[in-house]
Amino acid sequence: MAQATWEKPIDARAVLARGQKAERLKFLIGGVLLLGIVLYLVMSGTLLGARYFITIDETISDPQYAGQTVRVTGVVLGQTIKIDAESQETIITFTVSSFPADHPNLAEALYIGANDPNATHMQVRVVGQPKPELLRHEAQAIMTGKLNANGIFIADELQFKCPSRFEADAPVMGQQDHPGMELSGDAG
Amino acid sequence: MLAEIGLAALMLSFASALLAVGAAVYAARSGQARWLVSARNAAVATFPLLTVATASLLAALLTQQYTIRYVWSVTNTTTPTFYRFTALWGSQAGSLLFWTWLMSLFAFSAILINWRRYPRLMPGVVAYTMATVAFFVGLSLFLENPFERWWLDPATGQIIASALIPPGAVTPPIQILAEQAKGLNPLLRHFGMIIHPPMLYLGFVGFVIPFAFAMAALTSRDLSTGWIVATRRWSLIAWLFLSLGLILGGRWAYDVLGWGGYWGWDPVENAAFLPWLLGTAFIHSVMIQEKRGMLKVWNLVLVIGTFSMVMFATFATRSGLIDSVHAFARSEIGVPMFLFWAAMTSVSSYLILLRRREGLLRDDHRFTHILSRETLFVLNNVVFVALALAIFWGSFGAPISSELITGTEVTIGTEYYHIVTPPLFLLMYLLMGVAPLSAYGVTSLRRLGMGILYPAAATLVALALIFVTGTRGVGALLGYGLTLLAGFVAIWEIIRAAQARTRSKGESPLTAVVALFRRNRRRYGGYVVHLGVTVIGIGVIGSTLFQDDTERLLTVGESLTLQDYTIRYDGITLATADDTREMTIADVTVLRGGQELTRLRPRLDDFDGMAMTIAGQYSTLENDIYILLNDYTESTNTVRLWLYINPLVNLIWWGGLILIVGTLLGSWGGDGNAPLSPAQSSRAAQDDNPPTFPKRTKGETA
Repeated sequence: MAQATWEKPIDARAVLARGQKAERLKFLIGGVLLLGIVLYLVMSGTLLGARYFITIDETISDPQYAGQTVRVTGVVLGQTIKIDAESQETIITFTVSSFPADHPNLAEALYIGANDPNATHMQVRVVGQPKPELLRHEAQAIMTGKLNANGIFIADELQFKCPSRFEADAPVMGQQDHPGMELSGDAG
Repeated sequence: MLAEIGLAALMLSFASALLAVGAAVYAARSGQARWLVSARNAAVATFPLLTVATASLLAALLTQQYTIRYVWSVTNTTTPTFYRFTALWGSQAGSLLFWTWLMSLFAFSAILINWRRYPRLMPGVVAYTMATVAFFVGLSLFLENPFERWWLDPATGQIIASALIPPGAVTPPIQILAEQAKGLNPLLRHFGMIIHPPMLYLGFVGFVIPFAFAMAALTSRDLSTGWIVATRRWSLIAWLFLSLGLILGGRWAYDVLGWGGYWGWDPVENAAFLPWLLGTAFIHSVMIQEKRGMLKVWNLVLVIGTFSMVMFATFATRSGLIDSVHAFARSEIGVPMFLFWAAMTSVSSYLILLRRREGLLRDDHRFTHILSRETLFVLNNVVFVALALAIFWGSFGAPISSELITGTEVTIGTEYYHIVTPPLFLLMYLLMGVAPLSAYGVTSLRRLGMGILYPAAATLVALALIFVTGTRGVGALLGYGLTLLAGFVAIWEIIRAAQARTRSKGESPLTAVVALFRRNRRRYGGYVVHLGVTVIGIGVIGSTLFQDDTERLLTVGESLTLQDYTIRYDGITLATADDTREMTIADVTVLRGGQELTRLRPRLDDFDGMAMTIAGQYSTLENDIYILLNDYTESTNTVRLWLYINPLVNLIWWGGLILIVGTLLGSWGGDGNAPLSPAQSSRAAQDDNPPTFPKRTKGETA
């Protein structure tokens, strides 16, 4: 670089350092901006998509969840499943029962809930969705929706867990077997 | 007999893996080569041993040994032979063993292939692979043993399960066991079941090798590009299988689960997506370290993060941690898996921080310009990590932390993902379009402009066509635009380079293209992969934004109409299949604009009380006509039919095929695993910059 005699000497290193600082600043600003955008998206998405995951009892009785869209799980009572045969739009109603969520064996817990006379029941209504193939007796239903003024849960989203048939998780011997009996291949 | 062989093999492999770890650690400490050789031998021995164990379980499944609990729980006397085979991964214990067998296979290959080339890394590679193998074999041996058998306890008359013979117990009557055997879940009797889990496992397990090499590099302080070059192909192939596993999972859900969709943002789906995101970032980011010696910390974090996510995903899926329709039953392996995941993540994080403090992970060059290749790749990493963290938060972070802090679990619905992911995906596609045109150090805007001119023009033309044929939404046009741009850039780069060759060497276009792929496999294979990702992206946008559906109750002869399609219910057929399922089949005729297109047979299957909906599908590139038989009333011969029109959905599967071809092209052949010499490195660095236009040579530096 040519310099006129009256100009101050150019310190090449200082120029380079300033240039690098400017680049670094650009990186920093860009990074903060990006971080800010992502955080904003995550927060607004969370606020929009968050649902309390509560029990049937809480849905029906707890006032803090009244009018809110919530997520609930219950066990389906098969005999209550009704599909409106006349309506062009699919309308499904069924009743779910609460079940002991902490029970170690899910199939057993669902069985208990379905047969417990003291369990809390809740009616569910679903409109405009294909009948789920897993909707059957003792299936676990995971529903997102709102309890309406009549105490019926209007579900927007429905998911079902494959119900294990509540049979013993192990084979059982027939009644005539007892200790010491000669066990042959065709006992049973 | 089979159970005993299998159990013995499992125990021996456990011992062998532990021995290998011990010997490798001792070899590293003492520097004695013979201990390393012992470690290697013990390590490679795990593969034949686990092969024996897996083969025993498979043989037991195929020969109907119902005394073995696993066989009893996943098959029964009516199970077809084919599904006996896939039952190996049909439930927890079997799939764990299968997974571990794959891991031992990969360790076996990686250790033997790289034994001479990377001696400094071998102790670490052996130790870390075998520690992981030992952990999983331990899970199988002590918590989820596939060789547990049924025993009749004469004292109580109960049938109990145990791996070892309880005192005084005898084998229960085979007849009873056979009659009460449970059989395979009907949902798993689908083509998808045959390949989706193995593909995913191959992908997950495949990342053990790059992880082990990275850990070996950290432990041995050999932080050159050795560990990256050694595992380059492993990472690509593991990534390929993971991609395939995800796409196949979507395809399976689409075919079988009867809701016209292929991705539900379910936590277990997301758990498999997380390693893919970090793995994709990794296979890109390593290029910068190879060519410029930068992003060293990023690459270690990414590869370890990928494997950490694999472990977390496995833990989440198998432990019953999260409520998902996918999740396996709650099991006892949750706590040990969590501990293993926590341990490996902590140890690796600590090592990275330590080596960084020791100054071993410094960049060889500085970041000088915001629009340089290095910077764009860092941005790429940031986008993928942001996606991974955001998805992790929605699936696990929020539910788990809310439960811990407030006592009530808060779950995050799909709306969250529909807000958070599209902008990040769009940024990803933008980068896919711009980064290939960038250069190391600094990219002049003019260079970028010249590179993007033709692709941008092509994109505008395509968008105009899309607009004219009816698509008006801003979001859709933006999405299509960025996706297409990335694809056109990839195509244009190939054309441009081929043109340069034909001009300078007089080759025919075809010869030029083949030569390009042979000379720089990774770059051009990568462009083909980008093309596949573009096609997938277009398919996703079309099928997500423009799906249309309707339903109707129909008696015989009646029809329903949606857009310009009409479907007519012609009648019902009832049948029983060979595997005893009861089928209710609706005969449906599909018409478009009055012309008959095809006849479809959507049906309802009943497996002993368990229902399955199998859609009738008519697939073209333009869309899928997807019909569900949702209900059948015999008395009135009335059916309820659902009609879905899913635009462009088949591009997803075709894009997947292009992705496979591109990855294979990019990783095929012997471009050698040896580290590049300095001369080769600098030549490669120059080579890797995109070709400049022949005219502009003055003042244009690479």
